[in-house]
Amino acid sequence: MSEETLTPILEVEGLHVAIDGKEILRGLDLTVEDGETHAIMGRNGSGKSTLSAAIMGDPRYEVTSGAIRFRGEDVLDMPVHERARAGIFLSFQYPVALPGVSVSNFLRQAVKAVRADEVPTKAFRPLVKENLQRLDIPQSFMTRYVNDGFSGGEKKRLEMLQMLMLQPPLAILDETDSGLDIDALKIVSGAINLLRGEGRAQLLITHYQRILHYVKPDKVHVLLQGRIVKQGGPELAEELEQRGYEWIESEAA
Amino acid sequence: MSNATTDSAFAATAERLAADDPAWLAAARRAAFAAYEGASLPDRARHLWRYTDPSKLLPGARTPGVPDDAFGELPADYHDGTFEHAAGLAIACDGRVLRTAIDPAVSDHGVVVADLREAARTHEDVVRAHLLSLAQVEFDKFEALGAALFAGGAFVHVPAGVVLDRALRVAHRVHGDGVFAERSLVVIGENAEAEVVFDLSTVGADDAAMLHAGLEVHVAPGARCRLVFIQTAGRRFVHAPVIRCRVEGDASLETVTVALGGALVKSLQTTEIVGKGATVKALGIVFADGRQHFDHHTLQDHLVGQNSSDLDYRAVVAERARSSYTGNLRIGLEGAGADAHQRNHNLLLHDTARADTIPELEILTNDVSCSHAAAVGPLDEEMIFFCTSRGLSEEQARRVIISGFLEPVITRIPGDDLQDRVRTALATRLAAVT
Ligand SMILES: Nc1ncnc2c1ncn2[C@@H]1O[C@H](COP(=O)(O)OP(=O)(O)O)[C@@H](O)[C@H]1O
Ligand SMILES: [Mg+2]
Repeated sequence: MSEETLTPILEVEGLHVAIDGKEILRGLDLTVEDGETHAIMGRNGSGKSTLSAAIMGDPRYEVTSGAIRFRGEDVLDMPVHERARAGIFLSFQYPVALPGVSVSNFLRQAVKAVRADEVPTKAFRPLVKENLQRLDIPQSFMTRYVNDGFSGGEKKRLEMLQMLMLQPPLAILDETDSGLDIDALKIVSGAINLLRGEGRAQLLITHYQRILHYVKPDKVHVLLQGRIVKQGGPELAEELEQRGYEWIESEAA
Repeated sequence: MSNATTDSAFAATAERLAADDPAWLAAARRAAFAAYEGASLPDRARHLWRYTDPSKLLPGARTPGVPDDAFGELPADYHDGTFEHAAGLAIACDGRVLRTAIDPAVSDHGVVVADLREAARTHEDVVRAHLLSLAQVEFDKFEALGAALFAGGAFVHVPAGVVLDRALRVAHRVHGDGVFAERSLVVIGENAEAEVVFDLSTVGADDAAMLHAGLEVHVAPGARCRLVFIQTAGRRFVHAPVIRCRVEGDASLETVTVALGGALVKSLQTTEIVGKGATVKALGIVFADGRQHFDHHTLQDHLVGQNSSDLDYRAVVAERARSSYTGNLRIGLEGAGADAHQRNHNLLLHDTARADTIPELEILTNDVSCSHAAAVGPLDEEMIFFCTSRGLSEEQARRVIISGFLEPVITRIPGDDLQDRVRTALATRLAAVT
């Protein structure tokens, strides 16, 4: 099969998204081909988390027009859990705590919901063990309540544990790198790199290019006030690091 | 409203019971009945009765319950004859104790699990010194009714210095549609440690009995006690428990209340903290659906300071059910240095469900650390989104979040068998309303 005939993993077309009646995304276009890793960069408030929430289907965000397709299929009418079962995963910028719900119980239910066929009950424990080791997470995590009293770094590692357990074809990582020390950053990058390859894609949302040293993106997009205003290769991230965002803002104005 | 015919039937019941009591107890019973008859119904304007019509706790057209021995089969996890799950137990039906058993290794240390009415003779010194010493029959019409009519209940005594490694269990079931009363007494001696589980249910799901239940708990200096109340009665049951606790210096008391069954539950639990260094913890969960009505009232009364109390009640309310909670926190003039916290959270699963939460703080001294937090609301949308983003259906997400909300209280129940029984009961209830 030639590359051109592969369906893109993600296509976003003319996306407009509002929250509480306020328009946040204003005609966003983005295509992520099979096997690619894209970075989305932009200042705080530019709409990065809104984009990830809209792709995942957060009911609090209203898609007022445009399309989101996952592997060629329109997902806008799919409830959140169906998108997850189809293969979309969002690593949250601010993962919420689920008091009273143990990590182990939650992981088991998530894996059962998304990958029941691939992970028979027997395979669950060894798989958890393997991924805990990969992420340098102690076994004691399993009996803690999900994100309850977790430090920022622990929350991000737990998001990565869930990602590795679910093996999503499309992983959206919303500032998974922020607040991590260099060791944690390397571990998290390693987890993301494990997912790279044919049949999958990753969307790396960040406003620092630090993580991009460890996860080399195929394309870099700059988001400004709800639109993608510039695209390029990894060199664009470097340029942003050197020059900041002002030049793009004045270019876009 | 009470009427002459039924009251005379209850007078006869009290009299019949008194005839078998030692004289001091017979006198107390008769005094309690007189107090019951003399007391007017509580005023609904008073805070404790804002949410529940007190006339619903009167016998009304009901007759005195006819005790039966039809306890039914013990829950499989309950007692396997080896004392593995419980160091001692009492099995009661319709307010009467049918059977008690105790691990000889424990009774050798003087631990007693007995029928309270028998113990009034066999352990007269301890029982007489404590029984009805905390109850307020002069002030509480229903507590008086319970004290006048009690046919049995457990007497649990753990002497000074004895530390139990397994819980003591009291399993009680009621049947029919009459009025029953029981009374239990727990006395934990100095530096002793014990857990007591009260496991209450109806014999059948349709049994519509009314139970006036009284419990007094004495925790001596330095002792540690955990009391667990698991109520899984049928949907027509009426339960009016009054629990009175007294905690002395350096002692600790933890209560864990799990209220799942009944048509109407009106519960009062008071704790007098009379010593420095005492620690009191009260945890509770309510699961209400259909047209169930729960009304819990607690009082943490710091008569002296330099001690702490911490309360956490959680309710899940679905369909047309209602849960009311009044948390009274009192710190007396001598209460400097008290540390008292209260939290009541209510999850409403439907628009028709109702929860009321009223903190009442009476703080008569400075230099205390107090807090209260109350919340009533639906499930958190962000949590639901998080769970569904990991593939759980919305229904599954709701169940996971609700179970999690109740879980920290369930983990305080001693014994995996009992914990699992409560989880299973909750899962069944949850499946029906989510
Ligand atoms: N729940 C919300 N209610 C109102 N405004 C919101 C909400 N969430 C985000 N916004 C607004 O939308 C804009 C984009 O936010 P967000 O997508 O979080 O940006 P980013 O992730 O790039 O920092 C910001 O102006 C923010 O204030
Ligand atoms: Mg963001």
